[in-house]
Amino acid sequence: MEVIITEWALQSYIDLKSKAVFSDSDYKNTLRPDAELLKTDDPFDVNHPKFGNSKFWGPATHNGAIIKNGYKMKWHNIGSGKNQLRLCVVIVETEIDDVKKQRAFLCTSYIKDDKREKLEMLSFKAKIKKIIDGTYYYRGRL
Amino acid sequence: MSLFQTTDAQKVNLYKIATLMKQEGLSDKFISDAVDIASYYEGVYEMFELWANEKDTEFRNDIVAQIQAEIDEYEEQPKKPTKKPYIKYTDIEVIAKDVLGFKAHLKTVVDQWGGVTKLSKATGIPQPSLSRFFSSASMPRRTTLYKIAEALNLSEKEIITDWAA
Repeated sequence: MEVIITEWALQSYIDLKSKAVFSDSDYKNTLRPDAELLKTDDPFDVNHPKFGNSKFWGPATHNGAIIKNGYKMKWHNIGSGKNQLRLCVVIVETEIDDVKKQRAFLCTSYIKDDKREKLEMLSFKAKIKKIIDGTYYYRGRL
Repeated sequence: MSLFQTTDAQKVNLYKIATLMKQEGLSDKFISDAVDIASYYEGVYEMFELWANEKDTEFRNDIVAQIQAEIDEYEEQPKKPTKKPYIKYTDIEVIAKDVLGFKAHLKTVVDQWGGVTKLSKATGIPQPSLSRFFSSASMPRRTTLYKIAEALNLSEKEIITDWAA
């Protein structure tokens, strides 16, 4: 599947990098290879060793309800601060440059805590709508 | 297009929360813009509800900052998917340092001018949003920079950075 790097993904990565949330080694050995699985593997395969594991991958939810087209990639104990890192991913059929197909969009990354999680999920809902409406910036493909 | 549209009951709820925001000292500009986008984005509508039900002042401020971020984003939103230049992972650390350096300099200018509280009143940007702006390494939005420039009477050369989003 084509994987789009949105402006939200870039800006959140810049901020997390400045706060040393993850190391270059975390990025090269864990974060990037995991995100690249979206290019080669089926994120809906329940028997997949990673996408089938709810501790790594699952639907985004808010107040117990599934957010349509929204997913989260999860990492536990990332970086020296042992952070709970989350990456919001939208998977939806959209049109870019007159080509309509299913794509994965990398959106905001953030450190999980209960309150932050609520706010991120509401912001994620707005981002999903912008992706469906086509009113977003992106920085290229993974 | 997605289907969210506020119902009449939700609109009335929005206006009630908007009144509470006014009582809490948020600017008319912020409230008016926030109500507009909350009518279209379900997530922003729910941020209103989250703000109204939240007791923790610090988290309430985070919600206000997030709503302002949604307003700023809406003002610069493209009409179709639009590609900006690719940025290599190896450049991210340098960009973060440059952005933080630029914002630290701008903060010094703002402090000499009268401070963040005065800037909030002059621009209509809520104080929590300005605090987030100055502490985050994310690239600043041009609309935010221009609002600050207008308030401080800064020239384009003084306000612009290599890394505006």
